[in-house]
Amino acid sequence: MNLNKIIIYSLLLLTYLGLSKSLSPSEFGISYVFNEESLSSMIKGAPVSVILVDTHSTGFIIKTYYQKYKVVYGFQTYEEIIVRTSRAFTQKNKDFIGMSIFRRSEDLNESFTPLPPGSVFIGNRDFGRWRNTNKGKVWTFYRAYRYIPQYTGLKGYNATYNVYQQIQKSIRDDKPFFGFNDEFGTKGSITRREFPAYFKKDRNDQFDLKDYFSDIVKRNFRASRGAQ
Amino acid sequence: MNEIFDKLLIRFLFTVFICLGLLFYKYAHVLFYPSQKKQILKKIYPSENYVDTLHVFSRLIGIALIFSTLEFNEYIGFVRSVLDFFILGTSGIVLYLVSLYIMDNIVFYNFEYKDEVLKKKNASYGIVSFSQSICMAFLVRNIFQESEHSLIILFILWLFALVLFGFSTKLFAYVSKLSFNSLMIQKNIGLAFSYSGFLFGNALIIMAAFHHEHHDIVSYCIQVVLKTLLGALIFPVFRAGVIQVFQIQEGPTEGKSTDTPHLGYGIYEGSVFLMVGLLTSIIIGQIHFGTIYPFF
Repeated sequence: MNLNKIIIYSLLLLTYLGLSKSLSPSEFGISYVFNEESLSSMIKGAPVSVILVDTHSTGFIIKTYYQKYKVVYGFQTYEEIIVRTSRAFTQKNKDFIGMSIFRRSEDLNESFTPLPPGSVFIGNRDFGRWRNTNKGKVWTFYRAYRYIPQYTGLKGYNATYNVYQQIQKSIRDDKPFFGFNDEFGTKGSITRREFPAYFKKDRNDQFDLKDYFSDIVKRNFRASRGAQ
Repeated sequence: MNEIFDKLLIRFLFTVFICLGLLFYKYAHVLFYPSQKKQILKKIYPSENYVDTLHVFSRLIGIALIFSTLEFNEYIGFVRSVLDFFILGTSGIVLYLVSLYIMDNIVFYNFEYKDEVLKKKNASYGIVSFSQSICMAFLVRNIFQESEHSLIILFILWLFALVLFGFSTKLFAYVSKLSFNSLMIQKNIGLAFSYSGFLFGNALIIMAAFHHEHHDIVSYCIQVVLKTLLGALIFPVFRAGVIQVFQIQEGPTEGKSTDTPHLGYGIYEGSVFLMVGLLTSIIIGQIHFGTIYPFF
């Protein structure tokens, strides 16, 4: 093949890729989270808890991964953000849906250990207090911060002092904590209740040939029979 | 019964309006080719000069193609729909004729209508002119559909399409072994077929590039440019594939000169350009990836 043609074709290819990258609407307004550090630099303010609420991948051969976060701030309303992530980061967090995967406390301490959502607010005397009950000490938010359990998905969950201690231990050991009865995480009962959107989607990627052909038969023959 | 007569009358009135559009073209022809004023205004004898017949009637087919996209919706009010029809119809014809004038100056910049059609009866010129008129008509028709009755968007898209199509015609030298100017002078029919296929292929790709949803004009135009570039990338792949699969030998057969290419070569090139244009339009216009947003 003529060398000139190869050069022209390569230039065209590069122009296409360059223009697509810089002009395509799908590239606008979406941040890329490569790892924990890039997540930390993207999230501003403190105290803040970043809850992973959904994950999705597009593409057939070369996949693009997306995650949706609910960012719950201490002194303002929450926001939801969608980011593009690396494959490794998505794989790493696949079991932590409905959990806080990043938090920053008021004294700007950061932690990436997967924990129950809103863990950063539990035990923080600015947001609530320990109340003695028959189950032991249970964390209660002040009236001014009563929205935090709703935003984080902790509504109806009794965060006992034992839970608080386990959270602190998990942060020190950098080991995920799913709750004493595995209430949190992708398989958790509270996650299923509080973040139902993730479970509503059909995540079964398996293609069934039998279903496919039966659907064709249904659409083409049964409908016309019904019309008769 | 009154209602039926009324509807029939309206249809007849619109038939007359479309005929007036054709009359408009007749005088527009005089404007574009002033030296041939007498020729178009006198009676036409199709059997006298078939090249001229091809030239004139290709434009009439083009006007008919543009009119075929217009709609008359009586339920929005008779006067309003008449005005809509009139304004859009007139702008369609005007844009089409201006496009033809510009394209004539781009494609046939070395040739004169008077010399090639009326004096030399150059069939090659006639065929290329025919293809060009039909391609422009399809493009203007497509833009009409995409502009959704907005005259400003129609004008912007028309300019944009004209630039793309005009630029694409200049790429013939890169994809064909045939020399346009020298073979056109020789009245080579092979060149006419090859160039016609090339024009139709280009028009199909540009039409496919324009066919997508638009929310704002800037992102729409960006998508059109990207799709056109993608077309330029896919086109040679399909062409190479066809040549490879059917083991087509593009060079001359032994003992034959390459100075005057055989009609068969022109037909081959034209057919491949048209087929590859169609296949490329599938790749750039009919593969949908959806969006991630409904999932979230």
